[in-house]
Amino acid sequence: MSDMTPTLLTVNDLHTSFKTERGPVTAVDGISFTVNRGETLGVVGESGCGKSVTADSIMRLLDEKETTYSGTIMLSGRDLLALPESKMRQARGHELAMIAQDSMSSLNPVFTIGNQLTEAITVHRKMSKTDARLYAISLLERTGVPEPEHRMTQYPHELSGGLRQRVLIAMALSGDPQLLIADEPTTALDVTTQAQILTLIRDLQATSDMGSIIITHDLGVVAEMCDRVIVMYLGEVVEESDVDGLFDTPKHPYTRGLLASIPAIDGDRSQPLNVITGRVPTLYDVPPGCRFADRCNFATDICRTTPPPLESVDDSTAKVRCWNWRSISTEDHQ
Amino acid sequence: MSTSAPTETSPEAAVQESSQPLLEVRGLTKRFTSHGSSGKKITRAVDDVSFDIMPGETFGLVGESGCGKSTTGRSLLRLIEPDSGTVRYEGRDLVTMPRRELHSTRRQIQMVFQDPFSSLNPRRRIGAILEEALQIQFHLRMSDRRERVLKILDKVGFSEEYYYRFPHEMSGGQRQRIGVARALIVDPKLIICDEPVSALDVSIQSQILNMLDDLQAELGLSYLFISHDLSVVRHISDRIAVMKDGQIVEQGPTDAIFSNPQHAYTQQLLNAIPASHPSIARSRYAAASASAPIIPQRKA
Repeated sequence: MSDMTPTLLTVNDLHTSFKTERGPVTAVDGISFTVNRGETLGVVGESGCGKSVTADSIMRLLDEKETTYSGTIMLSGRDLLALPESKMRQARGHELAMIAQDSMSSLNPVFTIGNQLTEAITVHRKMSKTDARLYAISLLERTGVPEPEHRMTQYPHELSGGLRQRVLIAMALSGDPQLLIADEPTTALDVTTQAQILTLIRDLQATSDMGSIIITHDLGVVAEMCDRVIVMYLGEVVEESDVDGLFDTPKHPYTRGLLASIPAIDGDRSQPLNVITGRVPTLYDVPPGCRFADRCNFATDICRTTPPPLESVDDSTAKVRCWNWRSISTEDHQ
Repeated sequence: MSTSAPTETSPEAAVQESSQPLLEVRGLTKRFTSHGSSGKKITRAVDDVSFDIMPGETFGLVGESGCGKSTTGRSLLRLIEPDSGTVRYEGRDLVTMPRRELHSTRRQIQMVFQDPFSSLNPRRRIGAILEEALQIQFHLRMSDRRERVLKILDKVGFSEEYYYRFPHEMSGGQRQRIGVARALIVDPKLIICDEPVSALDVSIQSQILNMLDDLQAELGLSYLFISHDLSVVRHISDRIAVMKDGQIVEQGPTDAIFSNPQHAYTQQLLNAIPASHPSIARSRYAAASASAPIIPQRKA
């Protein structure tokens, strides 16, 4: 793999639309990003921003009778959107794999862990049952599951949420994927369990050149896990940055607002938290100009009429979708 | 409450020091019995829990799922009957109080729940939902009730138009503001907030937290704030109790708990909070990898 280019995944101008009773809606509206080998990209945003639809689009998990895709999703030189379903099926699990938020509903309640893990393994690998079982046990060991032989005989409900999440990670790793997508992998977990799972994912990455995408609403998870970040708002990328840049010099008013509205664990308790006024517009009612303009303290006339482009921030790799980001940043320094 | 946390010299502090606790919980215990394949099993969901809540104070109860924090909150109002212990509200014990009297005392202790959708009747308009709460506790004329509802709606930032809305027409954050309005409408002194912002996006969460702060400053309310989120609890609470396996393992002023945690479990909880900046995460991770194998088999 070392002779390949560092870029693993290139998403270019992805649109994902759904047919609904009230007409078509575009949940993901022209987003582009890349993920390099060994890199973790964070996709951040609040409910309804399109971050999970982005993940599901890359995996092509959405019902294709109701869904229209456009754009390209190139993984190791192949466009996933152009693959026939049979080829996509081979790719899922083997080239790209996903960990979902809810470990209980991702596992089949009537089969043992061993049963489900060995099934996942034999789908992608020609292995005897005995070998698949041994491989499954080794995967459980790798993901830090204590007493792996015993766990193989247990059912999902007999495991704690943290252990189930470890099993899901083991399952995702079973096909040795190049790209791992984790959609809110720790949102349902307690804070101490979350820390363990985040450490596990990071350790697994440190020992492979797998690229990963972490979808999350939690900027703490971003700080812990990500190299680069895209911030989504109402189906669009509004800011892209390396992780330090996002926390140190956020450019977009939405990113700035989000960061200021979290009670930081080392923040000043005597100050009220920042509030982003108003609410996210619905996808049926996308504003004509900047999608954030109605809630933005810095909005000017152009913001309400003309959608801003996603432009590069000077010479850096950072990008921001805002007409006024320059003047907002200068204000900070005064 | 953080915006007007009383200092040593402030008049509120003087008042607080001389006054009695609003709520005094002693030895609160609730056991649940389950019958499994291995026979009868008794779980002490709340195990000898004691704490005070002072007038005008926010008391945070923090812990992970299953630690008994919600059961504690519900036992106080006997929504779940506690097995033993006392809950003195302004000196009178709620646990031994006759039902009738308990009913009228509940007016002064209200609850706000986590899920603002399932705690609002989907078939009724906001105005009716709020008036119902009022009807149970007060005997007012219809026009007076309406007037009071509009006043409370205004307090949580809604115009008159919302009187006629249904819960499903509102966002999660708006519904939670209605949840707070319903608690406020009977003019309580103490509100038990059980994970009131856990289901909300961060930008909405901050709205509710600020609103709770403002209402406390204006009305002198006390809060029991139950949450699993340490950052949120830290932000809003004057004092904090940390719960584990049904017991309070540590309690004290917020700053003391966070800057100098005494109990090993509190330390473990604080260490598990995600970093507020990537540089902190990196240095922590580097330190951890230097002292541990790459893939730790043991639990952190």
